Amino acid sequence: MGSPLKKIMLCSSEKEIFSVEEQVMVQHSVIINNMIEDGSYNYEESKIPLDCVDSKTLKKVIDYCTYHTHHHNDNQEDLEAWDAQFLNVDSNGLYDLLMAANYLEIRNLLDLIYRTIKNMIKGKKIDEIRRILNIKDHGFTPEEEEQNRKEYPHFY
Amino acid sequence: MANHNDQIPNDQIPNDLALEILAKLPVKSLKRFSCVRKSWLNLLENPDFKSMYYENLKSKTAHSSSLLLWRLFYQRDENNVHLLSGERYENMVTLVLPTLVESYGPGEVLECVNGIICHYERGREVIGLWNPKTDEHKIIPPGISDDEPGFDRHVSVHGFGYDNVNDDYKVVQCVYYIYGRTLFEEPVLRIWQIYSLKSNCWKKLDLEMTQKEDVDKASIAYLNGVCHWWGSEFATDELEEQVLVSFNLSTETFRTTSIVWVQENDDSPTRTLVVLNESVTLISSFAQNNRIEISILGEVGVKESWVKLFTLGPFQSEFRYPMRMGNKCDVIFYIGNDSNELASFDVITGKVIHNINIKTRMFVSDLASTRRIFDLIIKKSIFSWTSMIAGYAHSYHPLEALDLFRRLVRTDFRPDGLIAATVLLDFTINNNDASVFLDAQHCCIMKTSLDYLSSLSANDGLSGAMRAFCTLADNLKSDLKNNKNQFPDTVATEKGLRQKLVCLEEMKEDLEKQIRIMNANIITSRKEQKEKERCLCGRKGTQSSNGREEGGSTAFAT
Repeated sequence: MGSPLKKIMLCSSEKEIFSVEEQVMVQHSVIINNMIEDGSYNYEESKIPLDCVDSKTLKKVIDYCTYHTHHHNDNQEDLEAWDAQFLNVDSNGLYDLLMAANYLEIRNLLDLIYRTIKNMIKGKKIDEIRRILNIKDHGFTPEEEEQNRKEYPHFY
Repeated sequence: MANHNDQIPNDQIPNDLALEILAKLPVKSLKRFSCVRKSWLNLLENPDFKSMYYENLKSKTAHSSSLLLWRLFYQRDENNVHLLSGERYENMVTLVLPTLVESYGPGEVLECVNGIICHYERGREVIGLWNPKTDEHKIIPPGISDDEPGFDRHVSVHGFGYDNVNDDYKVVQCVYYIYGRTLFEEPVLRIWQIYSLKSNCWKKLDLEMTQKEDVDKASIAYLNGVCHWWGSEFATDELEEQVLVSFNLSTETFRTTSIVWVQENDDSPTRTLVVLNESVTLISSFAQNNRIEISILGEVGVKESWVKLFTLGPFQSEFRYPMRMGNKCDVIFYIGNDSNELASFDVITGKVIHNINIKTRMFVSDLASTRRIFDLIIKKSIFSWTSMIAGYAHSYHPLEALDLFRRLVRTDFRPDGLIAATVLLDFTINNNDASVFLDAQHCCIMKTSLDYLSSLSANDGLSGAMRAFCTLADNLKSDLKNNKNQFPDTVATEKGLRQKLVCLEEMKEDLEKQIRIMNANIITSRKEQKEKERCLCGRKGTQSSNGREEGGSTAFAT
């Protein structure tokens, strides 16, 4: 683990540079932690390129990690309220965050997003679930689909 | 969250991330999601999903809190509650239940809900509620009794739980009536009753529900205001249909869910009802190949929503009696060997984690292992039945004995008087020196035997049981004489018994003539087979009877 005041540079897909406390990212992102630990990051020169994360998303991710680093002693309720507010984004934003959290391997953020999506699809009809998860090709033949509809009418 | 109603645009969520989300859904959703995408059919067969799902299950069910353990198999002597804690359940605190009935002890634990333990005494109709934290103990008033003349009243406590709508604790029981010689059949009348702690009284329920299976003490489970139990209905085509009954304590209504995979093979499993991940879960233990199946119910009332989560085994034969779930996604087993211990099994890996050191008395394990052997015999002979039943009879397990006897009568076997007498005689012999045991249950059993025997002699002519019959009559007489005061609440039963005795006396002389001829024939023809069976089955069961050397087959030799 790096010293608390050291900064690292993250570079978004738009080539925008974000300077973050090293400790913040190391604590949350498995990928960045690995890079720092194996010494492949040079504090003088390196920028970590995150080609699949746009600036807007990266800023959110950094916000999340920063807040959780500095507030990890807060009570659970307050943290959950903050998380809920944090994830109050449109579904584009949620998807981008999911992909970013997955890419950077930020376990608790991933888990938070999973739970949020779970609650979005819980108890929903099949067509809604497909719409929410953007499943265009469900893979069933029309006959199979018809059969399912007959067998489980309450799902549709 | 205002904006989450729209679809997630851009690309589809990668499948592995989608599976992570699905793994967090309750089990009842799995069926639904199998219709969303074809690749999500049979999700539990996908090893990736399986491991995610199990991981999730484990994290949800792993509590550091302590585990209250009370359902001990075949245990009569020790009905205490054990509070287990620690990584390997190494810390054990034993809670000594308060006494329910003087000289009867604490009874058996039915259920523990919100820290309140409900315990009861079989056959005595006494139910207590105990809060170990405050040591408050309340014996609840007896149920509604409007006895039907000529019927024997029995009570079976079915559930205890918290009604969260009315902020009340409730107990459900079934009062059922069996008419004289129909003890082998279904009760003639069932009256369901519910007790409310708030009003401190019972009321009748106008419902017809399936009674719980009673033999293993593990047929009930409480979950979120609903009492669940499983039981069997005997349809006219002699197929046994097992159902789960879910009784809602707030609405006082019930739903049933068929346990559908029952008839898959002839091996009748031992079933334990538990709660896993906030769902009703059934552990089925199959004797034939020492396999355990754990199935979780998605939605009450939907038999298709049973999801088979785990198939474990084959195990070594001594792991046969699952008791309940531990608090680490594990199953607590009773080990049926000489070590008399409990073991904890990880359901995901199927491995024994460790043993739990609650010592039980020797005969308990003997009986359990005998039962195991018994269960293993696919085509049971009448002698295996008899030995097993006698084993129970000797070691003060009258309910188990009676249950097996009822099952026996339902099989192809037509037990003759000899068997009936053997089994039932054991009760009287065994109880000469334990008069305190001569209670309502005992009376009922003896009465059954007399009824059964006289029905046999009427239908099939006299059998070789007559000698035993006479012995039984003698025993009964002396019992009645010596233990007059031991029939406190069964005056009607006693009266019935006395009437039977008069009949017996009349028949006796005639019988004794016949018996000399019959006895010799029957004993010779059966001796050989009997020996075989006794080696396999009888010995262990009968050793259990506190120093009595000859056990289940005693009556054969007379």
